[in-house]
Amino acid sequence: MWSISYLSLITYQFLVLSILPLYFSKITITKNLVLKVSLLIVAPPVVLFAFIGVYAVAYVILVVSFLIYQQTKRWRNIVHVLFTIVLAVMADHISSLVVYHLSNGMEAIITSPLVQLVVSMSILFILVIVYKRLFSYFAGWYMFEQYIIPAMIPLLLMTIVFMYTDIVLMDDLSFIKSVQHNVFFFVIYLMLFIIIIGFFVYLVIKNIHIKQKEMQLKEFNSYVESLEDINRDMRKFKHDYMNILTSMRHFIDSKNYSELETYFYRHILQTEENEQAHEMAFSMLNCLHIASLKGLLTTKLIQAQTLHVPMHVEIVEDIDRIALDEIQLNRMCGILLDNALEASKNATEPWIRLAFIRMDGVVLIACVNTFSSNQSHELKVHEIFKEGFSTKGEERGLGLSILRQMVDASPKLRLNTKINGNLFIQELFIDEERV
Amino acid sequence: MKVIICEDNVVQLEHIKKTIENYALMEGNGIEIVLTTTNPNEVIAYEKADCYFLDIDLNHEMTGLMLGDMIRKRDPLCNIIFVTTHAEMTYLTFMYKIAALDFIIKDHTGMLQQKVLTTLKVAYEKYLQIGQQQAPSQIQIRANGYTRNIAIQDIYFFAASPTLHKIILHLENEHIEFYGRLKDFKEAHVSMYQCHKAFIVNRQNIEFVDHKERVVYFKNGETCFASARLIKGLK
Repeated sequence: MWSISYLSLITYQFLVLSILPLYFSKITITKNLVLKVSLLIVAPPVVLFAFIGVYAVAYVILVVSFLIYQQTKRWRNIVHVLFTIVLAVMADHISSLVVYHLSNGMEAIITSPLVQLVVSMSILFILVIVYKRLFSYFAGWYMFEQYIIPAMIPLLLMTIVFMYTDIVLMDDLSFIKSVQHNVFFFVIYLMLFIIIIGFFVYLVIKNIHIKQKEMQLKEFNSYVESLEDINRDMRKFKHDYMNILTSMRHFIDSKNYSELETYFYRHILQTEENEQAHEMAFSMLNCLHIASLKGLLTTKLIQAQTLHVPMHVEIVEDIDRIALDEIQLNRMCGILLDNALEASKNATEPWIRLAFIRMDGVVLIACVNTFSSNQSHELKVHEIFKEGFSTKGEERGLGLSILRQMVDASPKLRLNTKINGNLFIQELFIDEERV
Repeated sequence: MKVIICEDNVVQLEHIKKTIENYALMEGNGIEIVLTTTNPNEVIAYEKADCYFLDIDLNHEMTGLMLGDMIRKRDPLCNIIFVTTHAEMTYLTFMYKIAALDFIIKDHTGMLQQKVLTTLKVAYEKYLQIGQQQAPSQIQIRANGYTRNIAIQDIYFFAASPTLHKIILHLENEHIEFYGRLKDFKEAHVSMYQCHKAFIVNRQNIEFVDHKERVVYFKNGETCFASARLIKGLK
């Protein structure tokens, strides 16, 4: 039974199981990696298979998952490993059926490993293409990554356990019958799977909408609060106004003009400037007519105030519509500002400037901030978008790479990034819909 | 160089006018104020000047931004300088939309005169340069709301986006994204070389090429891939 062809069939299967996930995860396959894969992943299970049978798959799942995590630092890519196994088993079963039906029961063809190999390879090839297409289609969807993939992983694991118990329990005597049986079950299972995922997606979308509404309400409240603050400031200023004038009167009466001058420049102009800057930051938001974005900016302005980062928002012309999904727009602005706040708060001279500028056929969101430059290493633009890049260590710095992904996925977005001395400049162009 | 000043505060207007006039008289280099006004419509009615000093808040239905925008559309080369109070300062908007030369903050009266003069000198320098030099090797990048000329030696590489017709141009410390096809830049200059389906590199800025792993390293530490067939051209 341990013929060469049989061995090569097993080797092929394990090779497929380990290489395909790497391909799906967009890891560039180098010679080094192939060597690693064949030594670490393909060889041991081939041996293991002889002793523990199909359970060797568990080993493959573990090691490939680990390797992918090590290479990409994203545990979500594990979904590719699981899907590959499901696809491979499907291909295998379908090919058994196809071969059986096409061969008119000729024993020689059915048991020939070569025929099996070729047919299952071509079926797998088709399945892989379909999967890849579907995945890249859904990957542009922003909830996919965050909600659906994590839900898929346990479901897929269950599927695999189910499939393999089925295979283990398979009756050797009536091989083709049980294969038929299996395929039948798999199809039912797959349908159930899709229904569950669909239901889940529905729930998630609903949940997100509720959360979004809550967020909007919260942000709107903070906007109202800050308006009240400004109102209070105004009242205070009006009250102070009289005091200031009377205090000046003292200098004028005594004709002490030089002291009046210093008093005027030192005290009066200074306080006025401070208050105006504070007011301006919020009053600029008047020209913005996208409620949720206004809320977001208010939150960030308040956040900047507590971090003692002067933040200026420039919206000179009315912005009532930006041709982008509102949630996506808010997310992108949030990333830009979070990043700016994070980078600028440690700078020697922290400040942030954000502008919404309407130009011909395009809205430009420009965000400029200072950052603390590291003497030993000059920061480069290309390092920033690397996943997991952050000046703050792990689990952060995902923001900018998400931003980049979102821009890449949309034909009407463009993002320019520039580092100029200790200034970090991002320009996000959003094309208006062409009529 | 013809100068126009538009400012709603007559005292300020007079102040800036005096400053420039005195300077022009002393230097005698052909700087001439052709119009001072508080009414932006007069600026538009006037044919054409080379340098504009505009107040941002004009106390008129037309703001400084709108006026600047109109002037810029009519004459892409003129110098526009904005005079503003500290609180009205919307720096980025004027930079991106009108490509303003500079800003003069009028809150600090003592510094106003000096700032007007330094800005005027810069404007004059730029005025002299117009039509004089044509940079020898540049590539022009155009996209909605964005036009820029980039010198060849600043280009590191062009990277195509896989599915959409977008290109990201990588400079030393800047990424610029625009619409286009990669092949349009293949012939842009002799030092450009397409080393991969998705990359055109500038040979001038390559640090070294790893032929084994097929990776191109640039002077700023950035990398891109080269295909097995095309890497041969990168000796």
